[in-house]
Amino acid sequence: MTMNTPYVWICILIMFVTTYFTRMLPLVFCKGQIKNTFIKSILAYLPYAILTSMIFPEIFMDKFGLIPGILGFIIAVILSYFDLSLIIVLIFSTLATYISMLYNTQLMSIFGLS
Amino acid sequence: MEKENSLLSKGLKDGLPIGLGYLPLAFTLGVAASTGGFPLFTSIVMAMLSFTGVGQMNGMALMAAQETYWAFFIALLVINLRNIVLSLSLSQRLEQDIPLWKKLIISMGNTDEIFALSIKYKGQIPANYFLGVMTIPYAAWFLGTLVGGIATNLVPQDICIALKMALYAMLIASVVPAMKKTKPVLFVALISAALSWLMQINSSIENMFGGKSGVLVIGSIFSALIMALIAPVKDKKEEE
Repeated sequence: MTMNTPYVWICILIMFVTTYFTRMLPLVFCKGQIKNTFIKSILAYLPYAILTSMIFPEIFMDKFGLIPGILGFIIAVILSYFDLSLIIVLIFSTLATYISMLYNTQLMSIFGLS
Repeated sequence: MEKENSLLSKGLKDGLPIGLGYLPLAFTLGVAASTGGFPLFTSIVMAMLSFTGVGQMNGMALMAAQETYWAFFIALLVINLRNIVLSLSLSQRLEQDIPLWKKLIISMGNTDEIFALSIKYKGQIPANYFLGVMTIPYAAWFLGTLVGGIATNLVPQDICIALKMALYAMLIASVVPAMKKTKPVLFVALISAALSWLMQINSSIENMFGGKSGVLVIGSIFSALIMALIAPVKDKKEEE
């Protein structure tokens, strides 16, 4: 599929508008703080709800396979639990996934999944 | 003027680790874009206009699924709603009387990671400090996308597939520290993960809510609503 169609460019424009304006409008126009506790609560929780819903269940269904997915997930959770920097989390979880991909068939038979 | 320059270079120094973290991320997105059929020029324009890993990752998936403009807009708006939260908090912390043109540039750079770092600044955040912080990450975003797009054919297929984990790791790294700190965030995350899982495993439910983007939107709004009712955030001033 070629991704150089008007459809793609319009989507890129929508992406820009939704990304930039949600950052810019509050910064430029908001002077006071939001008072309503309910709205404030939703705004506080929504980011985390969205981010986790994008992790599950895809991380266990991706092309790298179930066991590499689980291992990468565990490493990423442990390392970010201890507040290690982003680059450390990225490198080690990806490495765990890559190495277990190489030995996926052996791992599958160990866990009786093959 | 000298003070302004020192703020800028302090910002540059503090932003460097984020830039290092963004390199592999942008590289991965560049590889994903190029394997997904995006020409190099298109993926670079996309990356420079939308300085966001999460948005780009989902945007490309939605484009590949040929979602309608309307579905695309709603999904990305919901994914980006957290920007409003971050920018609102930032607006309370930035120094007063920043010229508009600087505010417009600062808006470009208020990503999850840059926000998290800049609010550690003691007292009001000077505009030049923030501009310094965002410079290297933004340059790394460009460089990573460029190299990722060019190197796709040179990188073995296995590694390209494994690199996808970096994108999930980015999401995990932005949720886990907050889950550790506050109980409601932990529960919101658990509810939302469970909902997303349940709805996506059953394809008839998934179709009922208009596909994957619909499931993500509805599941996360629902879990945020529940938690806002059960455990409304306390006002910091009331606590003091």
